[in-house]
Amino acid sequence: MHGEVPSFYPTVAWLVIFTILVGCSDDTSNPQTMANTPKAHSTALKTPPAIVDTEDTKAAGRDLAFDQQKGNCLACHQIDGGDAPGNIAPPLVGMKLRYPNRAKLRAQIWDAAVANPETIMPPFGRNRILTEKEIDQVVAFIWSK
Amino acid sequence: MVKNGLAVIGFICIVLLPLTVLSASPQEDIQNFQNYFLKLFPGVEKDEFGNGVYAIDAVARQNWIAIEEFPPYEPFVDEGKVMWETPFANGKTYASCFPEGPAQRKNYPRWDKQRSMVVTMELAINDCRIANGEKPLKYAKGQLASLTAYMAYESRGQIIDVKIPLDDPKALAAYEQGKQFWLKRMGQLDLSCAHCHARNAGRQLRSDVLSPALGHVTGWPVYRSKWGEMGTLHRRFTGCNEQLKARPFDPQSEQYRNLEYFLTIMNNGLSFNGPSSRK
Repeated sequence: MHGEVPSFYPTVAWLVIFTILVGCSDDTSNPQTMANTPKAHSTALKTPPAIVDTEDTKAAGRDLAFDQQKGNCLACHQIDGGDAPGNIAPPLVGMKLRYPNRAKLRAQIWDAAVANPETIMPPFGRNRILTEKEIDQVVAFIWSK
Repeated sequence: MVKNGLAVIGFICIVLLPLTVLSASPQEDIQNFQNYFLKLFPGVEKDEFGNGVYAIDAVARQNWIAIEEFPPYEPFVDEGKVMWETPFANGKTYASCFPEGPAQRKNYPRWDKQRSMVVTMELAINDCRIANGEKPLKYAKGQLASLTAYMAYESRGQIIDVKIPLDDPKALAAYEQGKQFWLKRMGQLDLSCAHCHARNAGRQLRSDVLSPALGHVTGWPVYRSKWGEMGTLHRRFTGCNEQLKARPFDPQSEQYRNLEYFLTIMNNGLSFNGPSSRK
């Protein structure tokens, strides 16, 4: 029993530090800030530790998203950094707020008709417009927006 | 959430209903189709839709008006006139098949009861050539586009009034097939004609404004800057299918002839205004 009392203190200390870190560094928790700075800062504290997108992965995703013969997201969506976007579908901003569950964003890109049968978004996975790996790369890029 | 839900239902009713009234009569289809675009673009006169995207895109319209001062299709109209007047090897001319003269646009497409198929002007021209011992012309571009440019030019101002004969149920079936083709999702991109050219007409695909389907058939053949030459309506159908990453049908295939039949009927009441120029 004596051993349990001191072990309580480090836990509290970690919680305090965690709270401070989250409050200071995670812009995605504040929609106001998010709207002003689409490029969110580190989200390492909120994302599951398994998902770490490298800059290379996101860059590969951006190339696919902008390529007219591949993702061609710009045909319909405005994306920060992309030229001459279309206006058929919503701008891709605040994606972590819109898709807190990253798997849902991937599912939307894989086959948007599952969630909305009337969608005009092409089923990139179902119709193999992109490979599974390419979809992962696009998800990494889009989720960073 | 309730408000959003109502907005979505409202959207479906207003935007999608005209496109999915599968049991409607052709006359109701025409009403729904034309009213949809007239409401979507208030202030644009019905006949103005024959100018395609230039009816709704003010900036592109300025360029187009400048181009039309020296129309790029003019030399092809001249070439077509020479073709019309030049006798075949047997001494006859196209006038032997079209006694009314070159202003034939108003007669096509039409349902041919004996052949049980939609006959387009391009098909009738090649029928005429074959009947006179000449080789048929290619359907997508080239000489046929020049000849139809001349014939369309001579037909300018004729009112579209394509009929579905009531005494032949196969005519209505061809119309229905054309309509279903227009509504059907196809290709890797899984999109229908209606998705882009009705539901999203006027919106931008990258920097291109999607043209309204009302007016899609009035101005052919077209000199398209992207092609750098003339092309027929069915050439454009081919390109559209390719853009959806779908395998295109052949120009003058049954699918495209029925699609032309449906689309032209949807444009009944507008003027034929070909040939025309597009970017």
